[in-house]
Amino acid sequence: MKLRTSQLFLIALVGGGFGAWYGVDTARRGDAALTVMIRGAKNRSARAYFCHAPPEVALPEVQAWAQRQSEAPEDNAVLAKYPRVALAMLNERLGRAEAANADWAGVLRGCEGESCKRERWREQVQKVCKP
Amino acid sequence: MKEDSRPASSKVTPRKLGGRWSVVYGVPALAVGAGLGFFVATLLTSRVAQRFPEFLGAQQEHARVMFCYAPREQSSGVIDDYAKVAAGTEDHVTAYGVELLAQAAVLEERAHSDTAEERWKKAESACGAAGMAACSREALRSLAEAGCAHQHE
Repeated sequence: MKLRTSQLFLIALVGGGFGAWYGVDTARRGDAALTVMIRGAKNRSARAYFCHAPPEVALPEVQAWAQRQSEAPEDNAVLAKYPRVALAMLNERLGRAEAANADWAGVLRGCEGESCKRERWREQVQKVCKP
Repeated sequence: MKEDSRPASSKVTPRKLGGRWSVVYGVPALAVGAGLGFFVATLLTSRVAQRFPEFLGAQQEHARVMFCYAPREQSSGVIDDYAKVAAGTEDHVTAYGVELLAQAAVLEERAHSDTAEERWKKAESACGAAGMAACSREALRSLAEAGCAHQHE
């Protein structure tokens, strides 16, 4: 049986359907990967502000980091608390005790044992500043 | 007329010919259709091209904060990494890449490194290729340091 033009067109259409499905999926995965890369770059930048910039300059950046974290938390529960701890530490450095205590309360909510110690969290977060 | 003396199994029958035509035309039709479908679907649904500048912006922000506030030993590594990636994606001949190269040159100069001269030449050449108006060393130094003014705004 020889293929007719209409049959060839139908075959191309079926191929196009598969191609389009795979294309949409690839685009979706690409967008998701780029979102992760953008988020990673923003978080690295916020960490750099926390580690190296004066507290008053770093504060808005770290607040934005904490906001991003609250909207889409990290899978790792410990890492997810880092921006809040950084925020608490910056508020302490700026002498804003009330705001710092509120941040600490958020970090230590539901904690157990060692994880209830502020000092332990401070050490952990300070580690990200080391080269 | 000469009679076909080939064995019956190797004879080209209309049925076999039809099968070959199916492969010769059918497979390319499927492949072309799939390729076109893939191309059009990614073109219409992917937002990577529009969002890539946002990614470069986030990296630029990181490079700036490192350049402006971090110790040189730490900032050099970050800026060099970004500059290498920018060179790989041809982004070194954009304002973003030129700023990175200028930052790297300033850091090398501060460290009194032998490679500072080479870094400046690289930055000047990228600046020229990017078609930027001012590519002197002083202009590039100002470009790198202007990033720090942004941090204080």
